[in-house]
Amino acid sequence: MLRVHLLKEVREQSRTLGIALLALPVLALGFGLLAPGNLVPTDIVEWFVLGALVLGLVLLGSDLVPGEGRRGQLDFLVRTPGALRASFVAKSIVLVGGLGTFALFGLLAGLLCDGLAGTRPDDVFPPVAMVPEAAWRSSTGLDDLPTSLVVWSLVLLVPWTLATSCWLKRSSSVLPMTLALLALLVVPHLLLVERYPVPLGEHLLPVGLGLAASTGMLSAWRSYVPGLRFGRSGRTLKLGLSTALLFAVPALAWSAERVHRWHHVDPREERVSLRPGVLAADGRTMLLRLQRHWENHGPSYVARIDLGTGEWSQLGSAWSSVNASGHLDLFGPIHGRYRPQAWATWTQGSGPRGRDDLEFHALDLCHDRVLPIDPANPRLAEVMADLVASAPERPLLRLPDGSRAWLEPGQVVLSTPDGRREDIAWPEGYRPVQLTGFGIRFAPLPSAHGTDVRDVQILDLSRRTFLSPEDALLFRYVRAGDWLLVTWGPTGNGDGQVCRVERVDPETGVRTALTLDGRERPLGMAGDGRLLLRDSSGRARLFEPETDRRELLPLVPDLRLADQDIPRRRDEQSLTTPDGREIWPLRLADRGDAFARRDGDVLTVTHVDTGGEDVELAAIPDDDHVLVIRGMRRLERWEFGSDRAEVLFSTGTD
Amino acid sequence: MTDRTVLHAVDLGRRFGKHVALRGVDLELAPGRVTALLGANGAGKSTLLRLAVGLLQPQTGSLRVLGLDSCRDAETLRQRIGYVPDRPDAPGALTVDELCRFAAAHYRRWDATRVDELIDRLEVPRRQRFRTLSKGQAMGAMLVLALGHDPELLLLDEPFGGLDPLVREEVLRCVLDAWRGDERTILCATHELELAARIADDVAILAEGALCAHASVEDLLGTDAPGDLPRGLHAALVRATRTSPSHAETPHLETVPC
Repeated sequence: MLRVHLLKEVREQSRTLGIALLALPVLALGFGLLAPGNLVPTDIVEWFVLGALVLGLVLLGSDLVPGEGRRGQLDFLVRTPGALRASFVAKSIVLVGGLGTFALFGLLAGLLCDGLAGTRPDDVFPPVAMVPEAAWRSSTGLDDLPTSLVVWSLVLLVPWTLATSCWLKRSSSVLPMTLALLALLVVPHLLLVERYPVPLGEHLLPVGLGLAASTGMLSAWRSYVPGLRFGRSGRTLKLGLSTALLFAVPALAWSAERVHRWHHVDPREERVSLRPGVLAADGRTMLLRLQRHWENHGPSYVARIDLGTGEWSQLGSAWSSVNASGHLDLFGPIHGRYRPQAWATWTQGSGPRGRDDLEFHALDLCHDRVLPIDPANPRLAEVMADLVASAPERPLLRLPDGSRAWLEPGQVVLSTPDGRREDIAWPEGYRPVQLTGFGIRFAPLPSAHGTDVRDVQILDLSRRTFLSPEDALLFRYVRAGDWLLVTWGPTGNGDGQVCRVERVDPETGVRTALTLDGRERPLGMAGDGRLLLRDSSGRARLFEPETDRRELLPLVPDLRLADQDIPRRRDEQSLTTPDGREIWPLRLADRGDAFARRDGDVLTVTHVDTGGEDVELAAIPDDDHVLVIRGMRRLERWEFGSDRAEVLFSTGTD
Repeated sequence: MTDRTVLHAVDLGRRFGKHVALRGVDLELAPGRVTALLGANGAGKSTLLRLAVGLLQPQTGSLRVLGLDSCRDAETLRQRIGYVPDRPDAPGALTVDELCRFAAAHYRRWDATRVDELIDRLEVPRRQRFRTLSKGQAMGAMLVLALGHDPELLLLDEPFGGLDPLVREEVLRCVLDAWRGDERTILCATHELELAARIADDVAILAEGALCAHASVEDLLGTDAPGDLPRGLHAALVRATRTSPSHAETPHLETVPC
C-alpha cells in the first residue's frame, strides 16, 4: 500500500524536485564564477546547505497537502478506504527524503561554488565521495557547520509544516504559519527562562525539542488522518490545533513550574542544606542560607525563620545570600558574625555569573524593612552611620593591653584604654576575612578572575603593622609581642600526626620550637594570648608559650576531648558571649562537636551527642546558649552545661 | 425502514455557511433499484451523494447507508460503495494501471479480472497518466475505479455530463450492466430527464435542498412503458424544482399532466 502512495507522491513532486535541484548547481556555477573571490564567504557551503533546506521546505513541504486540494484530488484520498493513513506516511517520507536530497544538492552546489571561487584552487569540485572526509572538512570549514541546529530545525519544521499545510489552502502561507506557530510554542519558554534564569538540564533541551517535534508529528497526523476524514474543514484545524495546545499548555505549565521551583526553595526538600546566616537583635528571627543541590550546581536562597514557631519565608529568589550587617565591601564578612544584628544584607542575582549581576539589599531584622542598597539613598547612609556608631559597643577584639578594635568602612579602629583612637586603613583592594589571634587577615576583593589564595595580608594589631607577604602566609596566631607558626600533618611513616609550634620574634625573625608533647594539639588562642591545648589525656589546658606553663582547664561536666583532628574554626580567636565570656568549639570523645564557655577556671560544655554529625556555630543569642546547625539540616539551640538540644528549624522531611 | 433498506435519510440537513444545501430530507432507497436523483443545479444532489459516501457530515437528521452510520462507519462503508464524482479526481500523476494498483491496495474485494474487462470495454488507455486522459476516458477510468470492488451501492454524480454521445452510450451501458440482479443499488444524480427516464426505476426530485417527490417512474408517469418522457411531466418537474418547497405542495401524480 505504501509503495503506491510513495509512487504517487514522488511522481507529483518530481517536477518541483527537478527544477529546484537544477537551480542549485546553476546558482553555484553563476555565483562561483562571477562573484569576486572576496565576496564569497568562507562558510559558503553552509549557506548553500541551509538555503537548499529552506528552498526544500518552501517548495516541497509547503505544497504536499495544499497541492492535493489544488489538483482537486483530496476527495479521492478521503473516500478511498485507509488511504489517508498511508498517504500521511508517504508524505512524511517524501518530505524527509526530499529535504535530504535538497541538503545533499546544496552541499554539492556549495562545494562547487567554493571551488570555483578560488578558496580551494587545487580541488575544483571533485565528487565528494572521492575526497577523504578529513580533506574537505578542513578545507571547507564544514566542521563548523551548526549541524545540530540544522538537524533540530528540520526535526521541528518537518512535522509542523505538515500540520499547518493541512489547515491552509494556500501553500505560500504554510511556512510563515509554521514559523509563527513554532514561535508561539517556543517564545513563552524562552521568555520565561530569560526573565527567570533557570539552568537547563543537560538533556532538557533535546528532550523538549524532541517532545515538540513528536507533538508536531502527532498534530500533523491528527490534522491529516482524522482531520481530513470529511475533507478540509474547521475540524481539520480544530484537531490539529487542539493537539498543539495539548503540548503547549502542559509544557508551558511545566516550564513555569520548573522556574517557580527553581526560584522558590522548599526546606522540606531532601536535598536542601542549611548554612549560617544572621540572628536578629530581638532574638526572635534568624536569616539562614539554604543551599539547594539541584543537578549538582544548585543555588542558595535566603530564608527568614521565626525561631519561636519554626515558620519560614523566603527572601528574594535563587542565588540569594545573606551576610552580617553592612555592605560586603565596607565591613567584610567577619563583622558581626555570630552576633545578633539589627541589620543584615542579603543579595540576590540571576545566577553564578559574577558579582555584577548581584543586587544588594539591607534588611531591618527587627522591623522587617527592606532597604535597597543604593549609594544615592540617604536612608542607607543613616543605616551605615548607625552601624558604625554601634561598632565600638561590641568590638571585634580586645587586646591584652585593654585596647578595643573594631571595623569601620575602609579602616580598622583601635581604641586604647586612655580613650585614644587610632585608625589603620585597609590595604587597598583588600577586605578583612578572618581573625587570626590578635591579627586580622585580609584577602583581595572578589573579582571576575578569581583570587589568589596566597595573596593575603595580616595586620598585627598589637604592633599596628602588616606582616610581610611571606610571613602572612605562614603565621597562624598573631599574639601580642610574638607570632606563632603552627605546622602539622602526617608523620613520615604515616602512622600518626605530628604537630609543631614555633614562636617567632617579629623583631629578629628568630624561631623557637615550643616543647609540645607528642599528642598535644593547639585548639585556639584565648583572649589573653595563651593557647588552648588538648593534652595527651584529652584534657584542656591553657599554655603560655613564653613561660612554657600549662594550666589545667577542667570541663564541666567531666568529659574528655577527642583524640582527633582539631575542630574546624572560622577564626583563630575565641568568641565571646554578650557578657564577654569566651566560647570555644571543641570535639568531645564519643560525643562529637561541642561548644565550651569559659567560666573562670572551668569550661562549661554543651554535651549533646551528635552521633558524628557535623556541627557549625550559627549564632550566640545570649550568655547561656549557642545556635548551631547540625548535620547541615537542623538549626538547634544548645545550652551550656546541658545535653539538651532544641530543634528550632529543620530541612528535609524528618 | 426494512433491514434491507440501502439508504435511509431522516430529516437530513446540511448547510455551508449561510447557504442551505439540504433540509429535512426523508429518503429511503430499496435494494436492487436504480434511482435517478433529479434537480436543478444547486438543488442539493451532490451534497446528498457526498453525505452518503461520508465525505460530509450531516448537520441535522441522520443518514444510514447499507445499515451503517454514514459518518461513524464511513471507513467500512466505503468498502461497499462505489462513487463517481461529477469531476474526475483521481491522482493525475498515475497511469490507469497504477491507479488500479492503488485502488487494489485499499479495497478488500478488488476484482482485477473484472477491472481488466471494464478497462478494455471502455477503451481506457492503461499506460497513460490520468491527467492526460480525455474527459470521456477519465470518466471511464473513474467508473472502473468505482466498480472494481464490486460495490453494493453505486453513487453517480452527473457522470455523463460533457461526454460525447458514443462515449456516453458506452458508459451508460457499463452502468446498466453493473446493475445485475437485485443486490445492487444505483443512485444517480442528474438533471437530464431523458437519462432518468431511461435508466431509473425510481425518481427522487430535489428542489432548493428539499425532497419534492420520490416515486417509481411508472407511478410518476402513470404509464406502463415510457419511451420518451412526456412533455407534461417535464414541465411539472421543472415547475417543481423552481418552486420553493415552503410554498408549494409536493406534486402528486394526479396533478402531473400526461
